[in-house]
Amino acid sequence: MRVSTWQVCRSLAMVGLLETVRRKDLYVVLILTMLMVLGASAFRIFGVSGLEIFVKDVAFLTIGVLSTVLTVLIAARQLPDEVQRRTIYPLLARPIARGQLLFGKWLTAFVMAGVSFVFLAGTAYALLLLLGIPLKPIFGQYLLLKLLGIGWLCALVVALSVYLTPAANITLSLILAFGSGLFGRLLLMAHWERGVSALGINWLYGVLPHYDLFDMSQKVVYDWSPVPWWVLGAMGLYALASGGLYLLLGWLRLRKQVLG
Amino acid sequence: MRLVGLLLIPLGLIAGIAIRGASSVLRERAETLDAITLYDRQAMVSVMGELRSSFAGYLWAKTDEYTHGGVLLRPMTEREKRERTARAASSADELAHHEDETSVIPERERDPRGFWGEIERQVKPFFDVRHHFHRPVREVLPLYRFMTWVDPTFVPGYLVGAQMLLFENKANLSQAITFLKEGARNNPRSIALFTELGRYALIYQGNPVQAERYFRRAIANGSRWMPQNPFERDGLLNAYRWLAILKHREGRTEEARRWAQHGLSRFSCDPVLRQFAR
Repeated sequence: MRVSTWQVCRSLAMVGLLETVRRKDLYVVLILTMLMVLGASAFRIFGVSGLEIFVKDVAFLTIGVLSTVLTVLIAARQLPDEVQRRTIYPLLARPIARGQLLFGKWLTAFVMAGVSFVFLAGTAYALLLLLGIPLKPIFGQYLLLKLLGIGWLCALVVALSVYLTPAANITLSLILAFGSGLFGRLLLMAHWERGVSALGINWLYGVLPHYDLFDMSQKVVYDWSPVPWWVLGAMGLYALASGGLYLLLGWLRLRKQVLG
Repeated sequence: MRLVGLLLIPLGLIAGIAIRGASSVLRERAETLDAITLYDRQAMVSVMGELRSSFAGYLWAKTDEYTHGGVLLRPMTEREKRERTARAASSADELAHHEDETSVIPERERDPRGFWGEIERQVKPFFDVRHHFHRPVREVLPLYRFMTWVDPTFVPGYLVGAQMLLFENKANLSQAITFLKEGARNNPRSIALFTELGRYALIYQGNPVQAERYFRRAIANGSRWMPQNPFERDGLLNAYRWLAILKHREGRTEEARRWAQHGLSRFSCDPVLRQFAR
C-alpha cells in the first residue's frame, strides 16, 4: 500500500522544519536579521536624508544574496544528510516511492528557504518603514516572483544533489544562481559580435538557468510601477516547467541509484 | 604532489605577470598621494587602502546607476560604434554626457531573444536610452560624500561631486568649493583638484589672481611626471590651457604664448595650446 504524496510531503516538511530548529539553522537567519537591524540603526544615527535609495539598494542586495545562499545550503543538504546519517533506509523501508521522497525533499527545502526569505524581507520592510522609507506596491510582486525563484532554485539544487557531492553541488549551484545573468549577456554578445544565429541563441537561452529573471529588486529600489501580471504568470510557468524538468532528471537518477 | 608542484609554476608565472601589471597602476595612483610610503611599505595599510578604494569605486559605479533609475548602460563595442546598430544613449537634461554608450538590456528591435527579452525588459529597469532624463541630482549627492569619506584619496569623487552640487543649485557654490578644498587638503599632490579650484575661482568667483595661484600649483604638481589617469591628465592639460587663456585675456600675449609653449612640451598635439603658441 502506497502512502499518498501529500502525506509524505507533509511529514517530510514537518520533520525538516523540526530538524532546522534542532540544528539551530534558524539562528543563522536570526543573526543575519540582527545584523540588518544593527546596520539600520547605524543609518538612524547618521541620518538617511538623501540616502534613501542607497539604503534600499543595500537592503535588497543583502536579502538577495543571503536568501540565495541560504536556499542553496538548505536544499543541498536535504538528501545527502539522510544518506550520511543512514536515516534514508528506514524512510525507504516504508511504502514511499523514491519520486515521492525527492518531491517531499524539494517541498521541505522550498518551505524552509521560503520562510527564511519572507522573514528577511519582512524584517527589511519593517526596518525601512522605521527609517521613513516606504516601499511601492511592486514590493508585493517582488516577493511573489522571488518565492517562485526560490522554488525553482530548490528544484535545481535538489536534483543536482542526486548527481554531485554536496560540496560540488553547492559550488555549482551558487555559480549558476549568481552567474545566470552573465550567461545571457555572453549569448547576446556572441550574437551581435560573432553572428551566432538567433535560433541558436534562443535554444541555448531556453536551456540555461535564469535565476536572475526572478529578481525584481532593482525595480523596487527605484520605485518603478508594478509589472503586468502576465509577466509573473509566464515566470510561474517557466518555474513549473523548468523546475519540474530538473526534478524529473533527479528522479531518473535516484530511482536506480544504490544508496549508501 | 608532483601535479601540484607543476601547477604551482604556471600559477606563479600568472601571479607574477598580474602583480607587474597591477603595480604600475598602484604606483600611478600613489604618485598623487602623500601616503605613498605607507602604501608601499606597510602591507596592512596597502590592503586596507585598496579595500577602501574598491568600495569607493563601487559607489562611483552606483552613481551612474542611480541617476538612470537602475537602468544599466555600457560602452558600445567597436562594431556597434562602426555600424551604429545599437541605440546611442543621449541626455535630455544635460546632467550627464553619454559618448558611445548604450543600454545593457537591448531594445525590442535589436533583441534576438523575443519572449525572453520581453520578460527581461519587464522585470529589470529598462527605458529607451535615446534622449533620456535623469533622476534628481540630490539623490546621488550623498554618494559622493560617502565615497570621499570612505576613501579621501578618491579624486574623481571630489571633482564630480562638486560639479553635481553646483548642478543641483547654483547657490551651492560655496559648498562645492569647500568640498574641492577638502579634496585638495587630502590630496595635496593631485593636479586635477587644483585645476578645478582654479577654474571655479576664475569662472564662478571672478578672481583671476587666486585662479592663477591654483593653476600654477597644479602645474607644479605635474611637473615631474606624466599622469596616465584621465582625470589627472586632463587636469594638467587644462591647467596650461587656462593659464594661457588667462594671460591672453589680461593682454599679456607673451606670457600666454610662453605658457602655451610649456604646455605643448607636454601635450604636443593640443590644438588650443597651439593656437596660443603662435
